[in-house]
Amino acid sequence: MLRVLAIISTLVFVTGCQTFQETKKSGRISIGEAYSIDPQVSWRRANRDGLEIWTVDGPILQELVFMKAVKDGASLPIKSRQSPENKPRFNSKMSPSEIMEIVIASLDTGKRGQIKATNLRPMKFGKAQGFRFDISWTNEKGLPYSAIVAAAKFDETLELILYKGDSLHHFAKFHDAVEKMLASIQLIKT
Amino acid sequence: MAEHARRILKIGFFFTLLVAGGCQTAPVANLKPGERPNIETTEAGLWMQADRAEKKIQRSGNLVKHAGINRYVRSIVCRLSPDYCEQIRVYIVDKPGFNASMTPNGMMIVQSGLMLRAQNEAQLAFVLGHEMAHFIRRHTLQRWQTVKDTTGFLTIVSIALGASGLGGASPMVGLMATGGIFANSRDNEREADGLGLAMIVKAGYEPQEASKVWKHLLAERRAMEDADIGQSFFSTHPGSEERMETLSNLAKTIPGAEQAKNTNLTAFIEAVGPHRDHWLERELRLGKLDRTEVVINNLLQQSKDLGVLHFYKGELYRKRNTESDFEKAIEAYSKALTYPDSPPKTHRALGFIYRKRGETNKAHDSLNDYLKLQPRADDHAMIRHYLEQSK
Repeated sequence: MLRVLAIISTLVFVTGCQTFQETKKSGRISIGEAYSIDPQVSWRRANRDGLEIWTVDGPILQELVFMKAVKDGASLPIKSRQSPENKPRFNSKMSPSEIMEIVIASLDTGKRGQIKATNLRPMKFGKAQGFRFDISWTNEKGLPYSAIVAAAKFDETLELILYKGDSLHHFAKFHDAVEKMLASIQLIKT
Repeated sequence: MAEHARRILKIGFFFTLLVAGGCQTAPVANLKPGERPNIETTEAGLWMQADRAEKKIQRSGNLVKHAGINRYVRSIVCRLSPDYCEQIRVYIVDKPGFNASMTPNGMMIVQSGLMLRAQNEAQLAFVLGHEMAHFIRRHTLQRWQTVKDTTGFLTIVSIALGASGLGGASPMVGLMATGGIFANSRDNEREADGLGLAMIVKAGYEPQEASKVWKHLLAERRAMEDADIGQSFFSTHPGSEERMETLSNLAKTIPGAEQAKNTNLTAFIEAVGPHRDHWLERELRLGKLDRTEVVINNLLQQSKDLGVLHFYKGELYRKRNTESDFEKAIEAYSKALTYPDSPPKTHRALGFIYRKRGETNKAHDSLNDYLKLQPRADDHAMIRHYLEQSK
C-alpha cells in the first residue's frame, strides 16, 4: 500500500510540475488582459513561473512564451544566471533597442552560445505600435536555435511574445502559424 | 560537561596532528612529455573522464572558433613549453569572468573574460603557464589521492573515536580533514603560480606582469559590494592579495628576471583587440557593472582600442542609469567618437540618449550619422522609423 502511495505521489509530483491543456485550433484566446490572438493550430498550453507557455512537440523543441504585463522595474520572467540584483529590469522609458538588450541579457544563461539579435523593426501589435526582432543561438550541445520576439509597451507595462525552436526543424514547423498569430493580435484594452 | 569538552578538544587536537600527518600522500612525479598513463591506473580513469568532458566542449556553442585568436594563444603555449606543446589543447570559450582551467588529459579551457582582462602577452602567458603547471605536475591526480587518503583515514579515525566513546568529536575531525584537502589544493595553486612564473621568465616575458594579474582582480573584487574578500578556510585558491605579493617578490629574485622584459603588447593587441568589443558586451550583460568599470578603467590605461573602450564606458553608465550617469554616458560616447576605432553604434547610443532627454535635433543628427555609417545595420528599419517620427 505504501509503495502504491509513493508511486502515485511521485506521478502527481512529476505531472503536477507542468500540466498542459490543449487549445482550440481557431477562434480567439485572451492573453492576460491586454490582447487576444487566433492560435492558428492546436497548442498545448501551460503556466510555469508566471509565464504562459504554449508548445506542440514539447518546450525543449519549440515553445511560444507569453510574458504578460511585465511591470516597470521588474525583470523578465526568464530563468537566468544573474543574481536577482544584477538581473536586467524593464523600465517603461526603455526604447525597443534597450528592451531587446534586456531580452538578450536574460537569455544569456551561460549555456547558450553565440546569442545574436538581428533585424529590430517596428510592427503593429494589434492597433498599438510595437516592435519585433529575431534571435539565434547555439545550445551547449551545439544545436542551433532560432527565435522571434514581438513586443509592445502599454502605459507602464510590457507585453512580450517569444517563439523559439531548434533551427533544424521545430522552429520552422510553426513559424508561419506564429506569423499569422502575430498578425491576428487584437487589443482588449484600448 | 566542561571536562568532557576539554577531553574532546584534546583528542581533536591529537587527531588534527594525525590527520595532517596521516593524509600525506606519496610525491607525484612530473608528467613526462608525450606520456599517457597506463590504462590500468587511476590516472587513466581521470583522463577518460576528462576526454568525455573534452568532447562536450568541442560541441559547445560557446567555443570561440576564430582561427587567428586560437592560433595566437596556442603559439604562446608552445613558446612557454615546446616539450609539452603537442599534448596541450587550448579551447577558448566565450564566457565573461576571469577563469581558466586544466584537465589531467591536457585540455586547457580559457574564458574570453580572462583574455579581456589580460593587458599584454606576458600576463596572458603567466596564466597559461600556471594552467600548464597543473598538467605537468599532475595536480588532479594529486588532489584525487589526497581526497582518497583523507577520506580513508577519516573512516579509521571515526571508528576509533566511536569505539572510545567520543563519536561527538567526529564532525570536528571531519571539518579539519576537509580543511586539509582545501589547503592541499591551495598549495597546488601556489606551486602552479611559481612554475608559471618560471616558465614565463624562461620564455623571456617580464615577470612583474604576473603579479599585476592579481592586482587587477583584487581591484575588481573590491569594487563588488557582495565580494567575499576574506580568505575562506574552504577556498581552493590562495587569496589574490597573497598571490600578488608572493609573485611580485618572486619576480625580483627569480633567475633570469633581468633579461626577461618582453610584454609583446603589439602582437597581443593585434590578436585580442578585434574581440574586445564582443567580450565587453558580454561582460556588461552580466550586470556586474561596478566590476566591469574596473576592467574598463584598467584597459584604458593601455591607451589602445580607446574608441571601443570609451564606448563601453558610456554603455556602462547608460545601463547603470543613476542620476548623473546620463551625463557621464554622453561624455564617454563623445570621447569615443574622437578616436578612429569608435564603433558606429556610438552614434546610435548618443541618439537614444538625446531622444530620451527630448533633444530631438541632436537625436536626429546622431541617428542619421549612425545610418550614414551603417545604412544596412540590423536595426536600420527601427532607426528609420524613429527618424520619421522625429521629422
